[in-house]
Amino acid sequence: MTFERARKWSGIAILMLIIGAAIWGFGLGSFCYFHIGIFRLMCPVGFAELCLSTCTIYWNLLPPFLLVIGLIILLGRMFCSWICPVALLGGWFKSLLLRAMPQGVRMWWKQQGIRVVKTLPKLGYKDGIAITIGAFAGVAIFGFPFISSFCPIGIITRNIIGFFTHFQLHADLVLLFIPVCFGVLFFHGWRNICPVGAFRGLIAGMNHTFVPVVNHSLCNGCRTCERVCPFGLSPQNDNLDSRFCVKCLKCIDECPQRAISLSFLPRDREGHTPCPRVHAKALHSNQAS
Amino acid sequence: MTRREFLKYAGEAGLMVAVSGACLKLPHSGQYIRPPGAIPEDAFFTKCIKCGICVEVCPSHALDFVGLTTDIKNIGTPRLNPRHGGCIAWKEPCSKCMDACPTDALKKPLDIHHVKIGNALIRKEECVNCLMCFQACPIEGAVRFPNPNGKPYIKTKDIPSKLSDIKSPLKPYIDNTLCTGCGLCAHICPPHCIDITPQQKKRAKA
Repeated sequence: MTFERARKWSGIAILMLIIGAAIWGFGLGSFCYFHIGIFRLMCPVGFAELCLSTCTIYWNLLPPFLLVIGLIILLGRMFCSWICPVALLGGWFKSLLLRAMPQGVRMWWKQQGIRVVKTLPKLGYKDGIAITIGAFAGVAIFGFPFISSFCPIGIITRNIIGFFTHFQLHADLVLLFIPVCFGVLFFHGWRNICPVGAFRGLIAGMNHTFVPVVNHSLCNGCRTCERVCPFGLSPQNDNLDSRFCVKCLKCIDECPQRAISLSFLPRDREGHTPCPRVHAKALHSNQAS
Repeated sequence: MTRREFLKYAGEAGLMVAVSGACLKLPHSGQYIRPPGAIPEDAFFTKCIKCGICVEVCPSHALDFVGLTTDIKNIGTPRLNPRHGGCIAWKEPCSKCMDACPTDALKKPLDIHHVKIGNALIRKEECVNCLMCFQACPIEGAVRFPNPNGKPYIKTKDIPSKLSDIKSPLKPYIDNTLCTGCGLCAHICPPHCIDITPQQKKRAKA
């Protein structure tokens, strides 16, 4: 089974769990707060904004918060590609939309997307951090956790719960319009403005485990891994910043040489291994001379 | 970092602060019937993180979310909607929403009978005297039927059938010093002629 399918099925399983909990009222919670018995998980952004808006520390929510921080350090931003319902539903929405379009319109749509991306200002990681800090400052100043009102994960969760308890959807789905547009047009830079992702990225900088590692003796330098990476990282150049890597493992699936494998604790991660393409070029030039 | 970059980041951060301030300044329509145990309205929106667990666990599916309104600070917060059901906290010991709430926005009170979440009002012109509200009400004596000679009736079996005829001018009414605002009567009422209005205060125990 490829990681692509594993990711899809794990996403479906988690959605089914939330739907089942909504229908039968297990009280498992959702993406904001999840608990089975004493095993509890708390959304780190939710915890931070709650503490800032009330100017108190919620000691009873500290253990689940620290558990999530520990999981982020261990697994990196795995949440963003394996669990986040926005990534899952957004991906389905996008593929449905593209499949429904006739061939000509699809090409036009993709070209327009590329053109719009070029005209918009590029937003990077630092912009994401600035927006997150501004949002937290707003929460602290006005004492109102407004991130949770607009959080796309929260909107989707509330609508799933509302739909499966009362069979009705809420009008706040229109607030999803903005992230859906960003997702459909597939901006690299604009993905950084998600405060939940930026906050996770801040902590995931400490992550050094479960990293895709390239076996340079097998790599032929086709750069497929760089093309499929949703964050534009290039595993073949050992450029795998854990602040951005969402551990979707597409690079492992797509590599035609099967040269990339998942390593629990790669040894020479910091040691600079030369890019095979550069290496080959150097060899050629040596031979020529 | 150049000055230009600094201005850009400061502008982005300032924009988010302005958005959060603007959310509070927008006109708001006021009050909602909150689940029992909700802390006062002016503190509720600072603590509720809109996770939806209370809506999920409610056994009678009485809670739903405040939808899209100009009252941005209350979007996604829970409210009791008698169209979906009524709160059974006064009928049987149910405190599921208060136990599930991770943030103390819903706090379990010492005695649920001191909690009052709303007032009920029967619109007399639409009432058909079916007396279903008597059966639904968890509080004895909160729904009453006027007695032309004496104390009002508080039990259906005492009411003479000729007084509670469909065309009778006498209709049941609700004593709002006893009513908790649970919405069970409004949910069960066949012509939907009972309105629940939100109110949070301590209730005098019967």
